[in-house]
Amino acid sequence: MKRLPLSLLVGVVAWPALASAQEDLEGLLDQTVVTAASKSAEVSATAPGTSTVIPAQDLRRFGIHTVAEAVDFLSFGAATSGRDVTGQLGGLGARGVQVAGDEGNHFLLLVNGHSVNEPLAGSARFDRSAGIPLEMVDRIEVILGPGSVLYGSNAMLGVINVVTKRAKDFKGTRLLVESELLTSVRAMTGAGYEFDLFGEPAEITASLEYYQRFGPSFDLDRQNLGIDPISAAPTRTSPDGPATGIWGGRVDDDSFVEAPAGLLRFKRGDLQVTFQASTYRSGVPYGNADFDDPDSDHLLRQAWIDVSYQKLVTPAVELTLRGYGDTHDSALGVDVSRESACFFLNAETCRVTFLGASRWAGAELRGAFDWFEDGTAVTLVGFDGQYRYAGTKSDTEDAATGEIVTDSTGAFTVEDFVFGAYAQQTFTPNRWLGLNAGARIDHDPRFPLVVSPRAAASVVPWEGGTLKFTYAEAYRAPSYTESELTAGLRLAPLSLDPERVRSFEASVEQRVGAHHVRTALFASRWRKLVNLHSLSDAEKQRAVAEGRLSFIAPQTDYQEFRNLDGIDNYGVSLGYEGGLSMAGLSWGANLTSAIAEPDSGEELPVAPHYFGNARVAYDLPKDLPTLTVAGFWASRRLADRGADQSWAERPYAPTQLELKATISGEVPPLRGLSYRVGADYSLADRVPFVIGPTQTPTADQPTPSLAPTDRFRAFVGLEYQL
Amino acid sequence: MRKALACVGLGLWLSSLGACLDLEPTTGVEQQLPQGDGGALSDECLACTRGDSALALDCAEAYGRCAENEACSSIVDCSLERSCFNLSGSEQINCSIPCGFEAGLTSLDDPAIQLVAAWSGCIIPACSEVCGFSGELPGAQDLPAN
Repeated sequence: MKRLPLSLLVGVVAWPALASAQEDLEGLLDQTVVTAASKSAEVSATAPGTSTVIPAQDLRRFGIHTVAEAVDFLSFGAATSGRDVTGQLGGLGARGVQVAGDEGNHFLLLVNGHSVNEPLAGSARFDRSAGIPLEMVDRIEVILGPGSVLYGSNAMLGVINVVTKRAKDFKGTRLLVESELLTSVRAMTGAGYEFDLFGEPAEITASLEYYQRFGPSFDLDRQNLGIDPISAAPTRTSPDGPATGIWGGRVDDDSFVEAPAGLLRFKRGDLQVTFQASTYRSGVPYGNADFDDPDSDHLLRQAWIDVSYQKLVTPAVELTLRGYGDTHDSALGVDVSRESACFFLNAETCRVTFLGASRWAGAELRGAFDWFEDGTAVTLVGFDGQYRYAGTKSDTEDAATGEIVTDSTGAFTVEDFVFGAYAQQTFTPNRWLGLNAGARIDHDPRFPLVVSPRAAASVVPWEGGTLKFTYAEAYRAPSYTESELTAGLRLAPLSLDPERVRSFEASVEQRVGAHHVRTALFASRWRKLVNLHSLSDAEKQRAVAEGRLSFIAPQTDYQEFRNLDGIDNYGVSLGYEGGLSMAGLSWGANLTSAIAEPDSGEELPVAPHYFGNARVAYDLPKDLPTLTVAGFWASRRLADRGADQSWAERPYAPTQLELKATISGEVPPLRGLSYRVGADYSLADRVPFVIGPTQTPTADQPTPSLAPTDRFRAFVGLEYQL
Repeated sequence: MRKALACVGLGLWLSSLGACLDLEPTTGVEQQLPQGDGGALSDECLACTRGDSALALDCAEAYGRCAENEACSSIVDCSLERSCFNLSGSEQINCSIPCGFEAGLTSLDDPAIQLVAAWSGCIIPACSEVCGFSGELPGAQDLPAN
């Protein structure tokens, strides 16, 4: 766990009263610090909500490679739906709630406090496509529970804040080479330097990495697509060879990733600049397109810059001015050779591209007023205004010539201004009571004003113990693809409200020496979840009258996004951490049992009802290595399309148990050289996502194919600090 | 030198990031596709294609449903004008492609295709003699109803 450094303790705004006494300082040295819960540094035990702080040391010694892995193996109360063989995620959930089709939309991902969820699809990336070199990460803060009070949209399940290292913790220049054996290689270089710039102390930390995956090969279930209605022959699933009507088999060529990424942080006095840029090009092995086609790929590009200036105007007033700009592109291109798909195109193989882009820029002004200049009562107010641009289009071209053969479909662009204002009051009258209350109001031209309140109280009734109660609400603005896109038989909705959640949680924590036990009880109510709705006959006629539909074709399923379902969610999370510091041993375990009941009465897909993790680390003395074992467990989960289709048998991903063993340490004769080797073993061979062209039951395929996972992986890495 | 190369590489990568996707919709795509050479259609033929002649009385309903649909009637009129049905089955589809574009169709999934398929499945065999149609069907009548 991250211990609170003494220098930071002095700067903990909300707790200087506690920090004033030496005995309190010593007590706080065992506490973890979290900054995202209240936009100020505070000890996690009393911060609003339930938080986990995953330090850099744990990322390294437990063989963690992505934010998603950190959440699965080391966090309290949150879990992904599983990682498939391509290393890509279906989404991230918490406390038994995860929405099928989610791409991180219900968690807000921050990097140094900068939100990276893009507005076109609302998504955030937690796998390697996040483009965050983990060697530069100081800690990952996982704060569960609604967090819109300070951050606005998307923070329904929680907020994840990735905090990068200061130069003093990333000193010098370093080089790293790492490989997942036979499947990938990653090279990283990073540097951290402190210097004087125009008479003021400054620092810069930066890292560049390149990740390339060239496998593994894997097998997908064969799906019989039958006879093509145009050619009256078996459906073609590749540009070459005979048409067989069979999709599936061995994936050799379409299992790849190329991903360069860079992250830079510069700080001079009160000014801080963070810049991140990454691209991620990967194969598309599961789509409704030619099978194992090396030309089918998905390219993600993102870049952003965040400039903040924080000034202590008087001992009681601190102002922060922040400006930022982001760009995010997605280009999915697949080759399709089946004749019926190229019906209007006069091409043997069509290349269909789906382009999406979003750009947003904004400014935030934040002021903190410390009423008594001792941190007992701090008022935080802020205003955030943002310009957004987003759009999509889909084009089809002749794969042989590259010539576009149709007009664009699904094309729209939209520009918006959104605003948010928030206020938060913290009050710590004495050492055993802490209060935190606030609210944020958000304006989005697509729906009425949204208010997101939060109230929290923490009580320290006895030595080492903390009781905490939090009520909070949050929302998610519909993504622009949900609110604006008309494509094929899908109509853009006339209006769409934001999704809402309200949550209450009570937790108790107890620290005794190196041991830390905590229990959190939670209950939440989700409303207005956005989902696809099939129009009834009356609704189709209304759509014609509204001009959204030109005519009603018989036996045709028209759909649009609606605010449909709600979810009742409740459960308990248990956590324990302990260790024998003299022996170099530390361990921990988390377990969550949750119930999530949709209003429809259906089972909630993808989200596990029971999940948890456990870990042991053993720091051998002197130059000997650190040995760790970590495990992630999730109960069986209904597949994403398990509830909305009449499969012969409901498809479930089996119970997952993933074990990760890692050895890390210095190479004694060579100063500055360190190594990390490890292996992962997965008990389950499937994750809960239906793949391939057959997304609905057919006579030939009454049950679906689920995405496979790789059962065993091993990696080795060397890092040299110059 | 190495620093300079690294800077150039980094600069190229960053400049590629800066190249924005073009989201301007593509419009007005024209196709160079086969066209029949049947010439002007006789009144007898036109009556037959509307289900008005004794040859195609059973097709009146299919014609009526197509005529009520703007896209379907547009495709049919255009395809007749281009003499598409004089061509072989597979060539008929290629010939009708620009008609589909003109009618605003972009995909086989478009529901208007069902109406065209119902019309052509009935009319083409029935009117082949009087109109000079090839009599072959493009197979579109076998399309699944979504």
